Amino acid sequence: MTIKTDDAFAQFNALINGNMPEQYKELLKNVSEQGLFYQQLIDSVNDNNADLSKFWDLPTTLGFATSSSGQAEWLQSFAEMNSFKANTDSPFGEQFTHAFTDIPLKIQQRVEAVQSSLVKMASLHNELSLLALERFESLKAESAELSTEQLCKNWLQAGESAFSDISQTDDYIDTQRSLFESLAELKDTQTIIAEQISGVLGLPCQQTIKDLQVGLHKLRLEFAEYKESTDATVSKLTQTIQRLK
Amino acid sequence: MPTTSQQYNDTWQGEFIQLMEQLSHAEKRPPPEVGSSAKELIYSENKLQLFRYKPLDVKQRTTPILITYALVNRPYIIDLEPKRSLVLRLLEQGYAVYLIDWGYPDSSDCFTSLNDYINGYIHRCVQHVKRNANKKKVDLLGICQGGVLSLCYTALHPSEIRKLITLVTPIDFHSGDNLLNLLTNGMNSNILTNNAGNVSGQLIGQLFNTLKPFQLSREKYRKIKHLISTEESLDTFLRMEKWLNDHPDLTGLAAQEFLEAFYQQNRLHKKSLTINDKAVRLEKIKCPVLNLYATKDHIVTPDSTRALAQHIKPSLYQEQPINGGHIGAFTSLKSQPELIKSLVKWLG
Repeated sequence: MTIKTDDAFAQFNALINGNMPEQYKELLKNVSEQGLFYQQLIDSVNDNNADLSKFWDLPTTLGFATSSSGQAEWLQSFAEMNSFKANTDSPFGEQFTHAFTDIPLKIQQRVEAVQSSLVKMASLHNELSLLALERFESLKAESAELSTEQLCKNWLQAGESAFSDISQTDDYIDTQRSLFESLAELKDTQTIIAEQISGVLGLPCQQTIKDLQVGLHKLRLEFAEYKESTDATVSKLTQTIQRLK
Repeated sequence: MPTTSQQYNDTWQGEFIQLMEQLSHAEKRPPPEVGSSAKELIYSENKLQLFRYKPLDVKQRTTPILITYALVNRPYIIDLEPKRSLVLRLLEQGYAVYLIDWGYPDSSDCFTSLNDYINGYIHRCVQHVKRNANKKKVDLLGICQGGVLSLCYTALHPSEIRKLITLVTPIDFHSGDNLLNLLTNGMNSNILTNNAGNVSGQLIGQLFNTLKPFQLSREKYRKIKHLISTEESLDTFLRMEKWLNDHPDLTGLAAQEFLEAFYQQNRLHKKSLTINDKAVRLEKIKCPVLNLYATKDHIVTPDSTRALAQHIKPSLYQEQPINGGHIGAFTSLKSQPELIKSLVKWLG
């Protein structure tokens, strides 16, 4: 049977652009994306491509390589996270000229700290990819005959075992911690600057909004407790009346 | 001979075309339903809804069971589809089943604390269940983080609970191989909160994916064959996918408190936890406790769950392994009978 690639992808595009439920579209996109991934993996293995380590790139696997709606909004404004590690030789200012015209020194320093942590994380991710590749090659050497299914299982085993080992090293944990700390400091600095600008423009400050939210929350709780107390009383009275009848 | 690239591509494309055709047919009927067991709303508060499941035509048992699920996922996983429904299995045994549905928090909920959940929401739900069932106590079944909340509640309100069941519930958050602890170690929850002051559900989903990144991000979508084998298997997959991608946001304050007190400081296990300035000591639980844990759980490891034995009086405590993973323990067709058998035998 001849599979007509063009027909399959035409059908795919028609479905994605059609009225199919979003959940089904997401499934098709996920399956298509992974199908292409495994296709590339198998092609590369069969072509004896030396550079296989990219197939265990962790940020790409997890979808962190590009900015997405899953990330906190404040972070998305700093464009693709991978661009931090890709442009380590570029002066900081050049990377962000398009986003900022005048970056306060403090925020600049905070972003540089984040960048430094990301570079270290990228290095560890690279180490993970290489370790996974090493294990993949070992598994391949141990197999007498390598079916596609076995190849994919080996890929998975190599990746998960490498991740398990690397992610539990002190280096990885410490680097991750530094990244979180630098991100927290960046966010705090950003918040302070936003407050200053809000003040200048006469907009409600964060504290005002927080006060409103806290007030609303307390009001809700008071009402719920009052309602529960009333319900309990009504229930007791109802039972009493029924007993008296 | 190993399969050539072309053979793999042809096979994959053939299966992918079949998948597209099946989904095209599925488009003409409603998406597979989740949480379809009949239930009635008996109480609501803000986003929370408390449901009572409609009893089946079997002899009814006396004490109601109130199910408390985690905040990070939607609770309809316990009623995903009839064949796999923990709720239906309990109803079939004559139990009166109630469920707390936490709903979807928004920015007005960002200051909801653990105290609000435990001493507020859960406590009021327990009162409503007691009144609805006309009972002085309830049985509480807490699942995963819901189990943690249930344990705290029972320790603080021991007179309300007849029996407590915890299912895949973490106790020792610093047990070995606890990847979530390693991931959250040193994390400032402030970086996780969005502009609404909450932690995005989507971010939580990604966090769970990092526990087994290659398996959960790629492997799951590689094997199309089992999806297209029957309409039933595709429907089950679609239901599970819906649930896996349906993460409510976490209220900012409660998320921060949980991260710090449990994951980072392990206070519950270290006996230093306070909620609303009151000490939460699991030793104060005076009712029988059944602790069910999954033997292949990579999210809440057996060691983490079984640490509960160190806190509950031996005469009150019983634990039971269930063969399966974190979710499979109560959704898998293989594991569920074992789980129900243990529950029924113990609950009475």
